[in-house]
Amino acid sequence: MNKKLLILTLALMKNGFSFPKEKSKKIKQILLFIVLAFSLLPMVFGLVTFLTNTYDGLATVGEEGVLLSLGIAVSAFVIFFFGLFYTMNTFYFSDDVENLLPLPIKSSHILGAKFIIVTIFEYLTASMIFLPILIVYGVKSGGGLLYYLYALLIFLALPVIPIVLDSVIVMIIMRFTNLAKNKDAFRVISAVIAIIFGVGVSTMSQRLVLNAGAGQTKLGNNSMVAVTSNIFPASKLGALGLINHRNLSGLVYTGLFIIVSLVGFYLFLLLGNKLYFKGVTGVSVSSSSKKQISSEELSRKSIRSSVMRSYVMKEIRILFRTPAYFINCILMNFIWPIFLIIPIFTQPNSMSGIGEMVAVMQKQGISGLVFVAFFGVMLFVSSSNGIAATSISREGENVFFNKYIPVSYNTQIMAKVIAGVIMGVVGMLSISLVAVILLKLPLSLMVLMCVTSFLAILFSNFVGIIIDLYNPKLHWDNEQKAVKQNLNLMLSMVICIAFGGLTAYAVIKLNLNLIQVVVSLIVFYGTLDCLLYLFIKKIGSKIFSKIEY
Amino acid sequence: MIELSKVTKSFNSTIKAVDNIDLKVNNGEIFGFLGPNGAGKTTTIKMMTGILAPDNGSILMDGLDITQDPLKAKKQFGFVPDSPNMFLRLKGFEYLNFMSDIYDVPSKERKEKIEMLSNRFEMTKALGDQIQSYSHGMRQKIIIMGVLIHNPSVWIMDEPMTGLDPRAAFTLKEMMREHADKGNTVFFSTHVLDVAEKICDRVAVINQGKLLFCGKLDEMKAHFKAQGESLEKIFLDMTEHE
Repeated sequence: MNKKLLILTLALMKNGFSFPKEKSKKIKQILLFIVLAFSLLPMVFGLVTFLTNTYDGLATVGEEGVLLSLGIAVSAFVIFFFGLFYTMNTFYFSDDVENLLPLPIKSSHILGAKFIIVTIFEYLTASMIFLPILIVYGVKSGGGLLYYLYALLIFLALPVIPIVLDSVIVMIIMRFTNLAKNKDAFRVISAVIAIIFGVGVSTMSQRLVLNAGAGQTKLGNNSMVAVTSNIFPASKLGALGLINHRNLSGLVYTGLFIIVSLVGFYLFLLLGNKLYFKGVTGVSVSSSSKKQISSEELSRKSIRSSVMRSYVMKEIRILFRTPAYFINCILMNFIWPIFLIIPIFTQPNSMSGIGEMVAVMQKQGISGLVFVAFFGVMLFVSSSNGIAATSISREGENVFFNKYIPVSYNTQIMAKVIAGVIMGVVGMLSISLVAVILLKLPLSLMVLMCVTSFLAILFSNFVGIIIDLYNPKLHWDNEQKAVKQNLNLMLSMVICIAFGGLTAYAVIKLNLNLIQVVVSLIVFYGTLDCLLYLFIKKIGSKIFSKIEY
Repeated sequence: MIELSKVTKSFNSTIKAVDNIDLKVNNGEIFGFLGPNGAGKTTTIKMMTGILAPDNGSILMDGLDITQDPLKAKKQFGFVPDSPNMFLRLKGFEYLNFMSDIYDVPSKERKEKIEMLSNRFEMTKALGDQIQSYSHGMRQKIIIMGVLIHNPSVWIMDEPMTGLDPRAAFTLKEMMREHADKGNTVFFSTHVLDVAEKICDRVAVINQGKLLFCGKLDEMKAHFKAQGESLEKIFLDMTEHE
């Protein structure tokens, strides 16, 4: 690798993954990592068991290679999807470009370094899905050293093509929206377009696979590999490379896979040189209207409101107007309904499937399981927006403001919780709307679901703020680091998912009916919310007062 | 009135950033807090405003203890921090409204105040824009306006002149004088001696966390028996030898 590119990549990396200097904070951070790793263990065990069973099942019909090709394809998709956010954040919303532009560095080096950073992030994503698949396949098929060597190479090359695609989509959109006057707003709109585009592409290709798969009846000898790999054409090469690792063809396929990735990276650099800088320059320049506000307008706008209301409005305004916050905290509430809708419109079969489901539900009565599923989804969605779990972190170096204003810490904490709850409820209502229309659920039931799920939203926000109070990430130099690279968000999500999972497990195990489910959810989470509220009220102020930048 | 007695703050329990400081700022005076970079000015101000808790000692704002009775004490002062890069995504008037709500300013009064302050600081055409579109000086002005909107009796300002254009700096100095002349307190830090020399009634000099001097400028000159030399030289000497 070019020396300058390496230096730049390392510098940007250090900037991105900065560990706190103080020893106690460092220990806290490491402990947090360990807790997160342990909490993921049950999921890993589950996944490995599932993969082993799948391998055995596929092996009986001689199609075990599907595990690899599907694994590569699915991983490529997940990387592609998360990559949209990563590339947008790293390429456009981090301000370091403004500092790099005056330095004597080639533009391709800046682009290359940023690309590598996104790739490294994606290795984390890939290691959660792809690594277990590689290992299970390796162990089950008795792969030797060569298998693992190829596996490593393919693992390393895997994120390249999806990220090239992400970058191209993002760069083209940003190149043209940069012409706009209100940059923040247009950047947000571009992000939305890019995400819808991304979801669209993925579901379209899913449909392709389903159609192709329908025509394929002859099984055996890993012939399904070709079909599943339609999702991502290049992934076929990787799968074939691994399956045939004992033959020369394995080497050829693996080599081709790597060459395709390298060519992709080179094309990205060529295109980036043309598109990137025109889109990114002036990223921090914002326009002003310089229009005088009339006296009447001022009277209308300067109406007194309560401290709480004013504080909540301030939080929400900033969340909506800061592109990094909008994408990670606000959009997250609406992305799930989109996920629900698009496949239904792009896959004609799914509509009849839903019809059957609805018929079954109406025949047997809505089971407690459907109810608790909705509750669990809301718990997940409202924790994934991270509004509460990053609310102190988002203050950053300006956290001193919270300390000199004459507003009690409790009021400030609750205002932050309320901002998160409001957005959680908005997300819940949008999901409910989709559910009522598509699943034809009775409105009265939906209302009952929403009322109960409100407790889930409260719970996730209380959990989020408690975590962020104890260990806020205040040292960041651009906004995306406050929300994107914040372990507090991960931790609160893991806790909420665990609670959701345990709740569902209990409902299944105890075989509760609908009324029992509703009552127990309300009693359990109602009590839990009260306890968390009291906890925050009792010690929130004390912890907040100790937070120092 | 601001009273600090025996205030100490250390970081990492070894370096004393502020070392046993006693200070009294009277009503009706403009008080300059001088010292080189890293002397302990900002740490002192952070303790006065409740941002940092002192390890020892007490701080009173108009008789109210900032650690014992923080909310009431915080209502007594308005604080201009040294960096004006706050609330960049809010529009000017939204920020002023937010500050007014926090400090309970009635609707009618806030409107008059916003009009008066934006005229004086020449910000009438900027209020509808987001603060991030402002220049450094304009950001400084909007923060100062946000502080003055609730009419606090005590003003605390950390390097308030930095980034202001000459006209705005003049307006601010004028307003500081008016405020003090009404019997209120103005406390500000600076490392620019000229500013202190022109408008301060009294000054204090801090270096390496210790208070080296507190009194009138003339007294400072006499104190160091260097009448012939410039104030700048005295200041340099004083902070150098420590």
